[in-house]
Amino acid sequence: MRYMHGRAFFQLLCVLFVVAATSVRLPAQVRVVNMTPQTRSGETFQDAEPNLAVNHANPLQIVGSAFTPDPMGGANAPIYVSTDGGNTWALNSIVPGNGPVGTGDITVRFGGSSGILYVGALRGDSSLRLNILRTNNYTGAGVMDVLVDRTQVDQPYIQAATVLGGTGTGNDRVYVGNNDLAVASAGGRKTASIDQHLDVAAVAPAPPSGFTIDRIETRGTGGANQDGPPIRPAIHPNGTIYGIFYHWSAFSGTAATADVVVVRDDNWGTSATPFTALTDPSDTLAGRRVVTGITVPWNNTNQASFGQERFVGSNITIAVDPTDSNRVYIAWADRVGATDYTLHVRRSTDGGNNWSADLMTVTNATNPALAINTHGRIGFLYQQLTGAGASQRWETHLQRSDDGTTWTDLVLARPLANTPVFTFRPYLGDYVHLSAVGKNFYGIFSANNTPDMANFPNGVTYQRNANFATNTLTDLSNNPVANSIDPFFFQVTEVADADDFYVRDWTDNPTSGDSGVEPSTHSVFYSTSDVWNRRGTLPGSFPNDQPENEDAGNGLGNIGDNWAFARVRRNALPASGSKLVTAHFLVSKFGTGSNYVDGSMDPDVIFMGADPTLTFNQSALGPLVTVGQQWHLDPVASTHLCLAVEISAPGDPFVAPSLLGNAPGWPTTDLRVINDNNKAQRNIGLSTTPARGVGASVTFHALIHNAATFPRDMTLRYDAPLEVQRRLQGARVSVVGGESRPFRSGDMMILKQMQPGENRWVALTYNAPQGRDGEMLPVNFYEMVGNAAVNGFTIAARPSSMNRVMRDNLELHRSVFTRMAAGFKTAGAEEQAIAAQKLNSNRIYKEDEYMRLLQTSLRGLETTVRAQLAAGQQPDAFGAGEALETLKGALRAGKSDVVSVAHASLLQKLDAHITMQQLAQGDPADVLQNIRWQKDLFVKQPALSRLRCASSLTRQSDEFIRAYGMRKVSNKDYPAFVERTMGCLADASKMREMSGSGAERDIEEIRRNSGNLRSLQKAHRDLLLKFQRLVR
Amino acid sequence: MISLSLVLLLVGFNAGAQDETSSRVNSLVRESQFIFQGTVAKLNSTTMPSSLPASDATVVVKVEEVIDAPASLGNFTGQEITVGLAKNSPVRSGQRLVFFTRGWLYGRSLAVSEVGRLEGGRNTAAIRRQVAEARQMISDENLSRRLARAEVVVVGTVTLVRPARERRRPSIITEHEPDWWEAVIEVETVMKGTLQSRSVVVLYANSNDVMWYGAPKFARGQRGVFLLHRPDAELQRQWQIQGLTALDPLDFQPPSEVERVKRLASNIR
Repeated sequence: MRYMHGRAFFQLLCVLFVVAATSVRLPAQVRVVNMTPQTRSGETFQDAEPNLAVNHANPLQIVGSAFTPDPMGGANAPIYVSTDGGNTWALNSIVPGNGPVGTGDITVRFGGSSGILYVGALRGDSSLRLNILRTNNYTGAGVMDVLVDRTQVDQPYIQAATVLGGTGTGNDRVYVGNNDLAVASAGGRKTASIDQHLDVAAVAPAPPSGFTIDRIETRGTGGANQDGPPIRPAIHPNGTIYGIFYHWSAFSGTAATADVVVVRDDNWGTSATPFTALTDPSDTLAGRRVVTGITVPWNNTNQASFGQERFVGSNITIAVDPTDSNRVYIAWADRVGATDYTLHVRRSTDGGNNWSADLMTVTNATNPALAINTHGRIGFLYQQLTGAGASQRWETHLQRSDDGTTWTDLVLARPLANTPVFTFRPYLGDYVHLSAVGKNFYGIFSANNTPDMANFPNGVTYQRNANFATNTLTDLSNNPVANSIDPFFFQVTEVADADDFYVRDWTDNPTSGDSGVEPSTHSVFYSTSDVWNRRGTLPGSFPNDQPENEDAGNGLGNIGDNWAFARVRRNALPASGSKLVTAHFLVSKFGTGSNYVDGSMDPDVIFMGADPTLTFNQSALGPLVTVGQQWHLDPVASTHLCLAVEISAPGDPFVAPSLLGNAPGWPTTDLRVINDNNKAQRNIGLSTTPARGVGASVTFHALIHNAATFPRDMTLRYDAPLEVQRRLQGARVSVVGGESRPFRSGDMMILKQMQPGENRWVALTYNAPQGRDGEMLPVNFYEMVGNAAVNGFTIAARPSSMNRVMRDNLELHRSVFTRMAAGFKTAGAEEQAIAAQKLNSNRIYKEDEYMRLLQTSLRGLETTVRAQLAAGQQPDAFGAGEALETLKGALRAGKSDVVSVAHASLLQKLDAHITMQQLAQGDPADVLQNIRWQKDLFVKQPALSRLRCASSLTRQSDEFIRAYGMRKVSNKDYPAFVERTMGCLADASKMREMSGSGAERDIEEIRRNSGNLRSLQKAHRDLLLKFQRLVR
Repeated sequence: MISLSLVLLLVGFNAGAQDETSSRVNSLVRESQFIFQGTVAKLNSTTMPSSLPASDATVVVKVEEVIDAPASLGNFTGQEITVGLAKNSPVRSGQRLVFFTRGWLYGRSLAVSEVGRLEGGRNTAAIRRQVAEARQMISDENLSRRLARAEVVVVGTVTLVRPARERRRPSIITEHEPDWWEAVIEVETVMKGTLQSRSVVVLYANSNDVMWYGAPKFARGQRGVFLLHRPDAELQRQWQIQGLTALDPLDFQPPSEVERVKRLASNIR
């Protein structure tokens, strides 16, 4: 989510090209820890079926669970807690309902950035009794709050996340997959369910505490009368929620006949009919069947040949790529031959609609668990039985892959499988767990705890008393202890802390700032980040440890000169050597809804010189500040900008894809910034109104751009927190040139039939509210596709001191009239810009001087504005003429605060008008969109796809798009690309179907404008529009 | 955060107040799992600083004598542990006290939450005796509650075990299915309830699934006391069973407990 006064921009959420990082990967570091605490050295329990939660906001905080009873037989069952990243563990009995084995099935998760722990568990003192639990102090003595308490439920599997953007920002959301057998008891047959809550952190604990139950099974279950036990949800931070389960159609007592079904909801499970976004083409019912009619063996109590473990069809898992919600991996177990138990891994890259063949199969294995890190790297954890007879071993493997094809295997444990003898089933558990936090994998498994290094090829540490020389365990009095099943924690570090460099997304004060965790934890990541702009070569000061940003200047010569800075840290000191970190800056002309650009790919934004570098020597932890990279903003460009940086170091590249070529916004680029500590962003050019409040209205405009490659209706939804609604009473939302209506939080409006690349504007008008200096009062706008918000922006009222308001108005005045002078040679504009620049350069703001400037220049101002509005063919769509009259009236009344609001409103309207005039001439920011659109047309439109040259054009387009995402080509390569494909475009324009369309004139325009990026883009788009009309 | 409702400070321990003290010890034992005498070593301190930050409610205590602890806990005599003090109950450094506690954190060290305390420094034999009596009383109460709920209580011997014949297939399938078996018991004595014959059939969970880990399993020739129950509505709904069951660990008592059970059963009739 971005905050911006002025224009904003929508971009359709597309399938992203995920490219493997190109830098050299360093070997992963592996850490395996036996979790049984030292004071529990004498325990011999079968601590099976483990689960794990890592606090994303502080990965030192980790919680584990297993079948472990309270050591003193108390009323509450324990969880395993660590506060040092899993190096040491303690038991804390805070889960209600301790029984002979602690709890029944139990899973644990932290809310994303809230640090609150949530648990889904079957109580240990009851039969099939579900509790959903919560605590904000997992090491404290307080028993967890009971949020849900009901019976006849099996295998609760919990997932949780904190909303980082869009509606509900800051809320914790919890999803508990479960087999709701009460449905089966009642003859309902469709038992696969997900309990969910959209704001669970604050809810009062009175079961069911506002939880709702979604039934995710849509098909009859035949003679089975129910689904299989495991139902697993997975959360993507953009609000896409997946679920996977075994649909049963028959059950023989020794095997189930099953389909593996994946469901999806695109808006946090809030769709009118939740989890129905995926349908199966064969029966059109919700729930995509990945495989059908498989045999899942069932042997609960008497399994003789599987290393003392049982088969109960509980082995199914799903993970969604945090960099791309369409990329999903699943794994499940079934029987392929006569006696095996085989794991299968598959992938979808289109949100679950289509699935690959098996990417991997593992025979005689159980407990699959999947996770995907912020680099898009997949981790696959499982336990496999190897060997024969007394030599059988349970091997715990972690396979990792960047593409699902080439895998790297880590063997974490390989103890004997026939000892100790089981005391109950499951022997090791019906599940293990793997999670990815940032770049690293964290996991847990249970295994024979015999202290023998040969059992742990990648090493292990024990806290309990263990003698690796004699392979024996001892209790607190040094008496021998029999071996048993213990939980083992592990971490696989993909990028070592000493190699992990980051740019902060936020700093609150000198003692509180982003520590480089991924994802970062503040939803407002764009106002105190460690990337900033200055109008000179020095980085400025750091009041409150925050960089002092200066709004960008636009203009000729040094008025348009700016310097970009970044402050870089690393997570730990290395043992030796120094590292070079490169900072690559990008700018989005957000005011024109533009994609990020760098280098010289946009004639309005020019970066000078090479990317700055920083050398971190052996003793340098940072922060180190780059030298400023000079960049120039052309006079015609708006100063509403987003500035971003992407840093790279050996072994720590930024996560592809780059921000380049993409417009800022939730959830697309915002998540790329939040998820990758090598990226940071700052929004520049926010406007202000007097904090004391004024009885005058101000209007801000947002540019709505159809960045898709097809025509569509664009649906906008807007909302605001209750307090903001109260403060902005009387606000109105309007479509420029269309309807206007009172602002009501939650309303929607539809912009009909927008063509690819077309722009329209919406406006928010409100009375300047009272508030604290610097406060932000956000109104959020989202583009909705179905029930899902796929992109959005925020217009924020920002009450400020009169000094700040005058400074901002004068700078915007200078900027707007500079744009007029440079772009349109409007008479008097340059004088207006110079006068505002002169007064602003004094940096001493007096209300009487501000008023005098406006009063003395009013006549000239009016002449210039009228001239600008008369230029070109666009009408005064934004009402700048009316705003001018309002300003004149305010000046006559002589109230400076009212004048400041009227002045801001006029400037905003003029800025929007100039942008509209400029965009009518073409937009270099849409170059990539043109190429995507062109490719789609030549693939999908029959007449175009039949052309002999179509496949060549498609291939060239694909290559250009991919190279653009990797920053290997840019807009400067666009004219050459168009030239290469001109032959095909010309052939297409001569087709019979194009007769009389005027396409051949566009071809001439393209040829004539090959030296002008803006005009070339426009001519190219005009041609594509004509091709588009061929599509019915 | 430590917030316990039950706080008991007993200073002195004279015979005149012994009855009252006895009653209070009983209530303390009921709330406690680990009772020990120790000396306050450090105020505002903990033995587990990474997971349990020090505060004015945490002290380090050296355990001098364990008075009552579960066998599975291990021996902490001579070790320093953390005590989370009961609310508004400060201690002095060097003070010797008998702490009544519940388990809190089990890590590199042990942390316990205080339920109450007695002044220490004297012969602990009397306290030991009182604690043991209280434990026995609590154990008797637990068994008495189970006896009270039982429909039939018999002394007898298992003559046959077999898969249950009469049960219907449960309406639900789960890995936690109990795998109902039945044991035929030849009855020697009926302690509670009435029987029509000298034998009785009891349903039990033969499954080795984790959910039934603590439930009694029977074998031919097994002799003892059997506490037999009608399944409650929840059990009937889940598993579609009828007949008498024995599912709680207390539902079978070994022959050594016959007289005790007889005594307790006579009290509840």
